Amino acid sequence: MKTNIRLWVAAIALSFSGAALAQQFSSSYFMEGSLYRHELNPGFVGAQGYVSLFALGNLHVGVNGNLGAGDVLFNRNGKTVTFLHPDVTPQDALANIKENNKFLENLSMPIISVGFKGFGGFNTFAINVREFTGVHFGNDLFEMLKELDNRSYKVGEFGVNVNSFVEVALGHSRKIGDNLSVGAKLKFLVGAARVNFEMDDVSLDLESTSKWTATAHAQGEVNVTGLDIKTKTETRSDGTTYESFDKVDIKNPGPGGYGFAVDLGAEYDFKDIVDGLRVSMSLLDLGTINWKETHVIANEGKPFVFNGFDNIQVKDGDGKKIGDQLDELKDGLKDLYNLENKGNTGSSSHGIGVTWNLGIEYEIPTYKKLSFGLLSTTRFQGDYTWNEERLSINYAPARWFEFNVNGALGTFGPSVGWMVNLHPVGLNLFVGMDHMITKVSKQFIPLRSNADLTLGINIPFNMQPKKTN
Amino acid sequence: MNKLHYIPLLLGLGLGAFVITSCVDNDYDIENIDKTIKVGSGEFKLPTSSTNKIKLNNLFSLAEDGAIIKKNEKYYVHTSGAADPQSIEVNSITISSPEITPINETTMAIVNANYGEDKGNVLPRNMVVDMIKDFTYDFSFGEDVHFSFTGQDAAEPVTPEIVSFKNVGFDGQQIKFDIYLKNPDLAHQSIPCIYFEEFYIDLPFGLAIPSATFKPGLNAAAFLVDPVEYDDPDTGKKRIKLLFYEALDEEETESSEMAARRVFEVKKGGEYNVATIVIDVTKIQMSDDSFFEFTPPTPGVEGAQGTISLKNDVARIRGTIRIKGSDISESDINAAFPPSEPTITVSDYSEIAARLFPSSLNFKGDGTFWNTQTNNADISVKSFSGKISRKIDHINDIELNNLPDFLTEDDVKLDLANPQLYLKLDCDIPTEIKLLDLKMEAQKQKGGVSETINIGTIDYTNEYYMDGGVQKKKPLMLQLAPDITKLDKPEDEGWATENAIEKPVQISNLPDLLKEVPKSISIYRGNHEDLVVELPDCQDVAVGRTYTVKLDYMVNCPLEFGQDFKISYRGDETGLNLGGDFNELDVDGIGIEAKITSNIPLKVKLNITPIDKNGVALTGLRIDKYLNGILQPGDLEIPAGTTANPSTAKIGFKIVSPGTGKISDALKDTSAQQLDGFKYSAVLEQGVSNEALSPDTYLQLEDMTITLLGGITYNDKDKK
Repeated sequence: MKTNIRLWVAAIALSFSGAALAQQFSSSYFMEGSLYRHELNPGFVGAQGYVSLFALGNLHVGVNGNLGAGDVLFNRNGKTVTFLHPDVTPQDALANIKENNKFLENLSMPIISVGFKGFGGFNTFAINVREFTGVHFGNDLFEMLKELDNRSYKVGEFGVNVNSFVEVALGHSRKIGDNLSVGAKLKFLVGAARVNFEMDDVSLDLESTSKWTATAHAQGEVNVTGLDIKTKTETRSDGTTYESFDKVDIKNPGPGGYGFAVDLGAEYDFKDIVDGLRVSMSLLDLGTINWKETHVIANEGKPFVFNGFDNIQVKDGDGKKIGDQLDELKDGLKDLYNLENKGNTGSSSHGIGVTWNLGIEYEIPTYKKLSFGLLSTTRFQGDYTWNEERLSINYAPARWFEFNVNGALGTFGPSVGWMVNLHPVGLNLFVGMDHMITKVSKQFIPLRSNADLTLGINIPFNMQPKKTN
Repeated sequence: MNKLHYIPLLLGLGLGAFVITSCVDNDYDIENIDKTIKVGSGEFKLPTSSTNKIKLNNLFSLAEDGAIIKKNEKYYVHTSGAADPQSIEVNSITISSPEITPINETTMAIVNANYGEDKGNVLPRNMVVDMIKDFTYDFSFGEDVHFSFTGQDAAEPVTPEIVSFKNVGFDGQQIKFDIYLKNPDLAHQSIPCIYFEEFYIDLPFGLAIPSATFKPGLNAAAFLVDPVEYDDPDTGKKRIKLLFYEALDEEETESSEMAARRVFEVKKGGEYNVATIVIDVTKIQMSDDSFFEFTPPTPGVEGAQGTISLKNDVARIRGTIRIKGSDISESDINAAFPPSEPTITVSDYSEIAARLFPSSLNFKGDGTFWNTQTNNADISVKSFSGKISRKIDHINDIELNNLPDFLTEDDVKLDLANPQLYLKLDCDIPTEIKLLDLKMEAQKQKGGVSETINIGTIDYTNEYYMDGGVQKKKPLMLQLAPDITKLDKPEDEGWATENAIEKPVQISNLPDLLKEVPKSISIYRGNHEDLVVELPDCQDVAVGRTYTVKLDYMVNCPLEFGQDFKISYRGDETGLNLGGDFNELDVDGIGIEAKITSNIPLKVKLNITPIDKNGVALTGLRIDKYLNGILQPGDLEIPAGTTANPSTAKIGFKIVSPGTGKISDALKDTSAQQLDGFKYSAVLEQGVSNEALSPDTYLQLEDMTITLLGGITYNDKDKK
């Protein structure tokens, strides 16, 4: 019982640690009553003006990944076992492990968000706190652990990226003509901190019986203003010295940098050709932040070669003691990940990732309360790039109420989502999920790494226009 | 405010959605995950490794004070030591109270034995009664007149033992007596000659003695002794001394006079063992202060006789008998006398002395029989010349201590080409020395005798050298070896050859003595008797001091081996204590392969066995051994190599479980037989001829690979 409580506490803590962790809430893309569609496509012209409750306007909790607990846990002989259990064959163990495994966490938390009609269109203003954390790694590591053999393992890359900033966004959308609506957002970005750590070309060559070679290029960048890294001199196994970091402090903290970004979007109604067909597209976060300070740490990048234990001292002979050689081996391996403080290399600019959405919606002309939508979303962010194709069935039985169910395929695997949106005058309340938790353990721990929940409370200024068939 | 009420509603909806939308898969019980993991599944090889050259020098782990040393790139079995010095104590030699004396304070009375009822008081014939002050009395002593000694019957021997006086009496006008040896048939064996050191007869004044003769021995010529008048310092009266022999200084013991003073040679039969003293008495002078008094015959009575008697005085025979040039055998002397009679004993003839002077000890030389003091007639020997057969204590064995492990195994054969054994004998008695019938015997490590060799009798004559102006004696250095032309004696301190008498002795079977690596080597005489040091020609050896026989030994054998040479290096490494680490780990097996190079000129046989804490071979763990890829049922045999042409072989060990289990089953705490270590052996044998073991010869493992078989499994024991 105590364990259950612990697990729940951990799950809830995880949820709130990533408070409003969000990809985008794709389930809302085709929900016309959703107040935050402009976050997905600034070309959408809002139907209701609104103001959000502080920090609660668009609360999204969730994580995404393409490797879940269910991929590495198995049931064998009535027991829950890991993929390394001897009863799990290598084929089964590695079947669900991707070539590039990633876990993403994205925060976009509106501190305040306002939408209103004016200037010939719909205008938005928002101040958002955004944060992104991503982890990625290859699958050879799993293969090596499972099959450990004398061969070469290209463990590939391993990376962690954390990026946090505050954006002040001004958006405007309007209809141009009868079919087209366009919109854009201009975002002023205030960088808080950025950390990017990459290990490239991580390989372990165990094939040769005469030598093993380990390679890893590791480099990290930290963009934090006022970061003060105290160094200390360390010695590598070959006797050369380098400056390692000893203590990290922050002096005179302040914005890490500034940048701009734009969101662009458009929607075209093909009613003249096919009644009810609308196509929309958006590009989000086209911009960079110029960070004032770039603190770089890196390893030496030399391959470590282990030629076996040579000239092992036996019986007080002239050789070298095995213990000393083991120490040398450990020192050599340490060189692989011993990071040298390269110092502050000055300013650097880094993008914040671009999201591309392409949506196709078909609204039943004869029953406009029902529509079908297909959304293709691609997030371009280097190693953390992902893609998803989501099909929605949207139903709005009343002006103040709508819901949908949807399903998706993509980088993070299949998922099922839904949304319920209540938006009478004076109150907007919605809840939904892009990734339903379809399977949990006995302790209600999701077995897949995709899980989210979005909900929000806003105050709309007016009623959703009534649809007419 | 009301809007805030929606927050819990939203959260409730969210959580509700979370729960409602998901389904519980009971196949996944994260709380009870079996964390058993297995890394790898086939063979996994670590990169090749190599060892240093494992030199014999390191392998042997020779102790600084061990019996194996290295010198000039060779190994030697080398040990040295000294037997406890053995003492030859030549004690003071005293023959106690041989009963030669007393011949002292003897009163001589002249008695007319015929005076009495039967024969009447017969005065001497021609006695002039009135010749009181100055008369001459001439007569021949008749048979019935004789001397007697106070307290003793004149007819009895004066002394009961060696020397007796017999036939004392008047013969006409002579006083005559004989000196002869008692029991000469036995005594002559040890007492060939008797001399008088000093001998005189002290008579009362008043006897007219024109001459006295002494005839030593039956066939010897008599010599005359002149009577000498002298004043007795005690009484102030005149006395007469017949001085037959006068004392000589001790230094003159070998003078010619000694020969002249020989009383007689002791000869078997007795009739020759007599010295005769004849004192002529022509008259007796009497006066008031005479020693004699006269009782005149009854006046007017025809035929009446007076008597002459000695007044309060004595006649004394004094002297010192000396025996010279005798071979005195204590046993012979004792055998010469019946047990009931006082025996001749050697003072301090203790148990130790008995060993020092056993029956085989003979001493020749001068002994002086002192007879100068009353009732103290001990005979003391001051020095001797002759022969000593000295039986000495069992000398310490040559201990081959501190042997390295590889020489202490049962199957070791120390078959050496030319072992060398050095014995150094040092005896401070200046004479020729013999070690009689020397033998050496090898004592096995676990008891029993492995080999005996015969060295024989070793003799030598002392030689001397000068060291800083001091004359020193050279010890004898026996150099025992099968090939004495190839002696390789190290110059250890005290073993310098220039100050020793070197005596190489070829012992062809000396290697047999060492072949079974004796625990010790015993040195003894003949049939396990104590050693005997014989000093056959001792000259004037002083008694009453201690001489020393010292025997040092040195074993020096280069490890140049013969065909039977075989050494073993066995041991075990225990206390691995792997149980705690392996309780949760499973390993199918471990393989080790390597190329082994050897320039050791001996075939090397390797073996290894896993054992538990009780040293018992494990049943759950087996080590398969491969040589050049072929499974070997026994030892791995690495051919002998040489420095110029090292041998190579490919060896392999595979640690597996004999059954279907994993080797780690034998590593766990729960194992009935838990691996605690390994028992290993390396036997070196069948060497290359004419090669020697060198400290720099080596074994080396190269291209060594360690292979993990079947992966490594970590067991989540909580889920078992």
